[in-house]
Amino acid sequence: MLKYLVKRLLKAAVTIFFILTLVFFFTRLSGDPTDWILPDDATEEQRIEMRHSLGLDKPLIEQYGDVLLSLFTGDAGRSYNYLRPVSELYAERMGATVRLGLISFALAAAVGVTLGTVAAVKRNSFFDRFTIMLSVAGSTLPNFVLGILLVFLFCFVLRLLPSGGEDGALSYIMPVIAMAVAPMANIARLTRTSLLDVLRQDYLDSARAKGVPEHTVLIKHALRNALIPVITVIGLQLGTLVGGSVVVETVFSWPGIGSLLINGAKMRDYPIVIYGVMLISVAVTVMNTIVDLSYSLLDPRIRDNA
Amino acid sequence: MERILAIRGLKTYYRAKNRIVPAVDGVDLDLEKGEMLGIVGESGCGKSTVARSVIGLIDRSYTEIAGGTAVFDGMDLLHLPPKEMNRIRGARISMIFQNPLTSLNPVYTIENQITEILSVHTDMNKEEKHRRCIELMKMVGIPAPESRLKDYPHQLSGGMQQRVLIAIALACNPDIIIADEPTTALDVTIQAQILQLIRSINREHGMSMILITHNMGIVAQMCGRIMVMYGGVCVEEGTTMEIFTSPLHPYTEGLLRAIPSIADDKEELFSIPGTVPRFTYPVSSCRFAGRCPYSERGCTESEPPLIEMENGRKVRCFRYMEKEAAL
Repeated sequence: MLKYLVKRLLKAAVTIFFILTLVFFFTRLSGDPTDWILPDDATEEQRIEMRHSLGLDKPLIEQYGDVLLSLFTGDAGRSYNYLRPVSELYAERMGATVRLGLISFALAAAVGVTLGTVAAVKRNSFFDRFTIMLSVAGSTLPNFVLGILLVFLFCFVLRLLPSGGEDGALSYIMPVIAMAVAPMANIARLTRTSLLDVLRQDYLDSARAKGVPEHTVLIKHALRNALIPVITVIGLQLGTLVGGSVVVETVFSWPGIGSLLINGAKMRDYPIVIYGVMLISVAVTVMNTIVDLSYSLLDPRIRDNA
Repeated sequence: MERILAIRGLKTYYRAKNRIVPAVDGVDLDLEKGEMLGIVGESGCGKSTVARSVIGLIDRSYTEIAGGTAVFDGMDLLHLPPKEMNRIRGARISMIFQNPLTSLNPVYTIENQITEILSVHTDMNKEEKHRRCIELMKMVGIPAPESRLKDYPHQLSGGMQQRVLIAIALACNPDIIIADEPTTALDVTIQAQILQLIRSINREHGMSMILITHNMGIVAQMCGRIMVMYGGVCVEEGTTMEIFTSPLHPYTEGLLRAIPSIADDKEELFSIPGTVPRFTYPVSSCRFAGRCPYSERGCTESEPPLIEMENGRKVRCFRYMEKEAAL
């Protein structure tokens, strides 16, 4: 188990290293940050001086080295626009993103698993068909489209909810729905398929033959097995959720790291972009690793092969 | 002899698209206390459905009990509310299944799966359940049971898995154990061990058993009485001796001839031509007529009745009726 964990973590480190490298070169290809920082009529001398003060006049490889080094020192530099350490900026905004993400995720998992379970148990019923339809619609509708539709309906037409910002419980409703619908739809669909498969298994009949009541058969024997593949998908959904937050936060002017990152990218604020992408990729990798480990905890057959 | 289970006119029908398949179409069966009764027949002849109907393990979404009664201890099992059926299943009637690996839940330990039945039917505490679990595992011949408790099903061999299922079936000292093809999925050498175990349970604990199999060799060794099923009905019933020495139904005859013999120097093995056809309700001919070597015109015009003789022997065949009439 320990060996497996070490292997996983090494893999994760390599993945993050590649992402970091990719982002570093992409930012450098995106153009000159001084276009944004300095006024249009700035002289060439001013631009050179600015580049020098940002360290952008060093050779590319040296800049790359600095970025890699910053991984270990923790000092990721200052934002070009805010003129403050990026770690501080992200720390301030992390809470809003985590709150939104966790609430959306909990909702998606709870509702998704419930819908999928009921649909599988009542297969071919009206509820089942309705759930399938809903989950296809939910997983195909992009979250920003849904977000904009929600804003239009609840904010402009009904005037019930605030259009953006984090301000009280009401302000969470639309962003949470926009974030949760797609993963919820996927979780519901997969739970249904997986449970339908498990419901045919012989061991359910042997549990019934023991006199185990039907609801215990369903929850203890069927759902426990059906959720093993679902957990993987939930884990992958976590990744999409983090990515989705970037878009959803922009739509709802949510004061989280997503909107910070988008603005950073627009302004060629290299440290903001690099640090933000780093944070997100570390979060996704860590979550995927946790999912991977939980998978082997849930399924004893995998534990032996690991 | 004390009768422990009396099935009368059991009809279990599957609803398929546009038609009704009579999987079991009027079966009578009596099980005496302490006896081992064999039900034989090919796949699809309805033998498992009889067992599953009695114990209430049929999928009601496409199956219905269309008629009959199954009286056990004054209760009709076919019409018992689910809650009361749960109290009987496992506690008073238990079942051993065909495929041991798929019949054990892959994510729970052996101990968990054995003690679950004790949790359902007894109020034993954790320590008592643990002790009973080890006792049961010893009883069914699992070596070093203490070291096996925390194992998962996939860590055991097929024979050991089947022993675990037998331990579960035995756990609450039931009155009846139904074994549905208990050795079909096992190696031949393991088959013999498991059959031995089943027989010793029958003898030592005096449990009544129904052994369902397609293997005539197994019923010959194990059972005192045999019911031969074909197409959802009983075609012949009698003691093992009667069935093997003087089969009355052409289907039984065919089954017996299909047993390979070392003494037989014919190169080709005998088999009954064709397969079990799919019947649609209502059936109005002898169900075996299409594959019967003695089939005559009359056989396809109506279904022969099940004739019961004085000694309790039963047969369902026009040919036998004609012979009897001629005497």
